[in-house]
Amino acid sequence: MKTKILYSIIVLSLSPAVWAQVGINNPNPQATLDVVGSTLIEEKLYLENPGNSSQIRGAKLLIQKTDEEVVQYNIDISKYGPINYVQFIFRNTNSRGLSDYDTKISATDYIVTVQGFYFLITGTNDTNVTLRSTVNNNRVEGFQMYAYINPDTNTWFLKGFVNNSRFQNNSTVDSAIDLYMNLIIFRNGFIAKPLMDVTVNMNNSETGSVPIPIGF
Amino acid sequence: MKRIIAISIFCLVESAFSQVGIGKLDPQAALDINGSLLVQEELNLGMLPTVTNTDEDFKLLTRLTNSTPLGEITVLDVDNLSVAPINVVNYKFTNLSRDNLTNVNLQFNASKYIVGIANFRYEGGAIPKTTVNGVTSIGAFVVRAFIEGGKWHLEIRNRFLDLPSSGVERITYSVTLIIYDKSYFRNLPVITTNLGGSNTGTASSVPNL
Amino acid sequence: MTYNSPLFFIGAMFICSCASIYAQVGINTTTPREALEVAGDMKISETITIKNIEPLQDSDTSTFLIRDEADFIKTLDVSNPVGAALGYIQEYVIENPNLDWVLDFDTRVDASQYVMNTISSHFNRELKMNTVNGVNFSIPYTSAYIRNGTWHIILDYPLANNKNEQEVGTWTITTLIYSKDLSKQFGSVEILMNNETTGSASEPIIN
Repeated sequence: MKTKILYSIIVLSLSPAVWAQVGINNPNPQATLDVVGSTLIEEKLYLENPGNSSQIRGAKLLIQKTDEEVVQYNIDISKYGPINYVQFIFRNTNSRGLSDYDTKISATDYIVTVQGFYFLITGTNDTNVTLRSTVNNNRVEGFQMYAYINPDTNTWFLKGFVNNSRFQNNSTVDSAIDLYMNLIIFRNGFIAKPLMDVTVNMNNSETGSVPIPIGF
Repeated sequence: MKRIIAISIFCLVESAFSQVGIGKLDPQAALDINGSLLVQEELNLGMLPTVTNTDEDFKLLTRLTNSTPLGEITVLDVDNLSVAPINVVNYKFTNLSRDNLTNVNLQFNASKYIVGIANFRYEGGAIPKTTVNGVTSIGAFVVRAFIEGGKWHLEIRNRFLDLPSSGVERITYSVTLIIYDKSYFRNLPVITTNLGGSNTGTASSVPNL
Repeated sequence: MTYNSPLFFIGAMFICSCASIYAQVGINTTTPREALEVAGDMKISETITIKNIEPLQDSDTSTFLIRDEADFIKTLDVSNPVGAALGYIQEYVIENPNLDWVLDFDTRVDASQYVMNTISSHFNRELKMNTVNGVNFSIPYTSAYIRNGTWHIILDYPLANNKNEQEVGTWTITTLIYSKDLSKQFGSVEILMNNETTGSASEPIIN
């Protein structure tokens, strides 16, 4: 009996080294381990040397869903990309500018930023648009083009105007404009994250240094 | 003879099981491993579902180059990182010298990060124009991020005109800076084009993407 | 023949119980480092489930993973100086426009394949108003936009010119270019403001 038991063990140890390829549910394995069916790994997966792809075009990134399933990412099908781009064209905006616009985009799920804008006389390709300060025509007023979170709705709002000013046409008459705004929208928590706001007191100086966030 | 019998049994036993367990007696899949799997070379997945248009809050899979063994599969969870691939920070500058944020050192290391500008708010008083010999200057209002001394800097001001030192509301600048982790992005060589005095033109070269 | 029945039984017993005796199994290796180590390649015809996927730490170095067209899992090393990246930083230096005016600068970057956005820009000369008696003022604008299938750039202080028209001016603009595998384009959305200053979307364009 003992001899028989010992013999079986020896054979079992030797046999993996004998097989060049092992199949599971597969009498004709095409790889070192060829599984016909699913695989469940209770702990981790290590890929020691899977090979590198230099091509991002047409390749599908791998993602893990909230139910832990591993799937492939297809940006054309997915509700959102890591980066999302849209151009908003505010047609026939009053000469006072855009004082508030609710995009209805969730501030929990997304980060909306204005990255680029321009304006034309409404309904035309006429770039001859100037600003006139209603306080005094001898001044250059500051402008505000930005996205912000409205805490009452928890959505992103947009503003696009020049302080105390009116948009005017080539005849220096108040004119409505078409305001073009480029929005870059990040999905919060995918590859982008918001950090804490930083307020810098310049102490009446033209130069200075700002502390960087932790970990940078 | 005995050896051959033993091997045949191994085969028979193997194909008899529709599911194989490693380190467990009741496998729940064709291959069920009670522990980790290490594949030395390529892994081929014949079937991989695709994301749907209702899925959300999924995370990108990553592979570690600093694990032991090499190649542990992990996930990019930006909430677990100090520095995400893209970081969004709202800055507000107060108590300025007139309108001049001439050179603020943001201190982000230019070899590790790219800094971009989004959103802009100028709150406060206006800057007087100047007229000399019938020429009315509006100065040049500039908002830009630039690299100096290996770090990112910020300039926001009217370069040639100034806010009066009194009698006009003080200015606050608010800007959103996007800090990109350079290990995910590539710097391309600058493309310079001379438009020869025209307002239209085509870039002298196309980036190699 | 008399060996068969008892040997089969014992063999089967040992294979079953040996699986739990062996802490680790190796295929083509006698020194497996994990519960199962495959010294070679592996193929799985159906799904894979991995129960323990840890999050990246600050100190980790890593690559992304993709499944290529032949179903192989490969790494995508976006930090490699050659090959793919998530995005590209492209600076344009535009010299000698029509004074300060760049109405239409064609970058020739394919808008069906890439998204371009501007991350910083400025003009290097002082400006004067080009209006009668120098009335009004101008604010600088910068934008990338799509025209005829490529990305164009507009840069201007409208109705303002270089104060010294003999001085050649230069716009310096930095753009970020993302491939369409990472950037989703929602196109242009027309919003009718009806000469008002406020408005509200009926639905968000991204949900």
